Amino acid sequence: MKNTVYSIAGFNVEIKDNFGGIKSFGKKYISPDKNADFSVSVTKADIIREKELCTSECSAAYLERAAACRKLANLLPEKDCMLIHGSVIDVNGIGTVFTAPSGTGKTTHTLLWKKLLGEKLTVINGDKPILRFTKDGIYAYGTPWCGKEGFSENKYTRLKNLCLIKRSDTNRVYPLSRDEAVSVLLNEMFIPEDPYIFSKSLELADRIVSECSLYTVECNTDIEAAKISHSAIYGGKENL
Amino acid sequence: MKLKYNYLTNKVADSFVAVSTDKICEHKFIKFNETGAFIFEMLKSDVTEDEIISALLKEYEIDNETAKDSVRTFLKYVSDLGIIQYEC
Repeated sequence: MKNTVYSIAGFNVEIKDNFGGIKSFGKKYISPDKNADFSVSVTKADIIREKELCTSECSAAYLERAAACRKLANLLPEKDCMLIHGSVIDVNGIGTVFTAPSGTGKTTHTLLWKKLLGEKLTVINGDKPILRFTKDGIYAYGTPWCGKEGFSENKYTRLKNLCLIKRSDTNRVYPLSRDEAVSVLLNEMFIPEDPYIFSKSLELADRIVSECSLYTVECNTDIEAAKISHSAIYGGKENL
Repeated sequence: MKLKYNYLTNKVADSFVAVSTDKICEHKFIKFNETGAFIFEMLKSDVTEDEIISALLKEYEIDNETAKDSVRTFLKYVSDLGIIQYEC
């Protein structure tokens, strides 16, 4: 039972590797600091519970990673953070989160942006970034929970834009209403088990709606989709 | 009639999200608009449909029919969710 301290969203988190799932987080998340801000440990009961939620056959290591994510996510709102389902990219220090229900095409759209912008773009996280809310603004951090493409950087960006991705034959970007943004967040943010902690998450969700520019991105899978959405969101300021 | 469960009501942007504090409640949260939040707040105590309509007419500059429609639509919504008890 090896305990390692990981650097996640600017915190030193001790995560106990009880079932062999945590070591896959890799070196880039290991903190040089051995003093943890808090710790997370997955029990057998957590694994069983996670297995009930899992739709396919999963290894104990996979279930441990998923359970550790859930345990951490339940602790985050009290630390002014939340886990969200989405893909976060950084262009020139300005961050954008693409969010949508699974299978819509967040990864496809992210890959199109990468193709368009190359080195100018960093994919901070491809699946479950952590948002940290400070007096200065909202920051989106990469986490080891990153989806099958493996987009995972132990970096952060200043979050300025929230985009709901919708599949379409044509490419179009238009404002996402505040009411719709709340519905999107309720679908895509992590819902803590404790109702009081959930209420705290909703205070943070309110800040996303107030402080970010909100967009609906209707897109297909052509490079044109990235050109149009990049131009609408970043004002075409990059030299392509 | 009144709500079967206890809720924390949160304002998120221009919407309201009620979070149930009772584990047995099937619906963990419900989202509604300002009028919905007003009616939902009244349903925390035992209240009749007519009492809600009167309160709504006092609070907002709307006509009787609009108030009735709003209340009935909202009551159907929460009733369909199974979170209302009629015998208090």
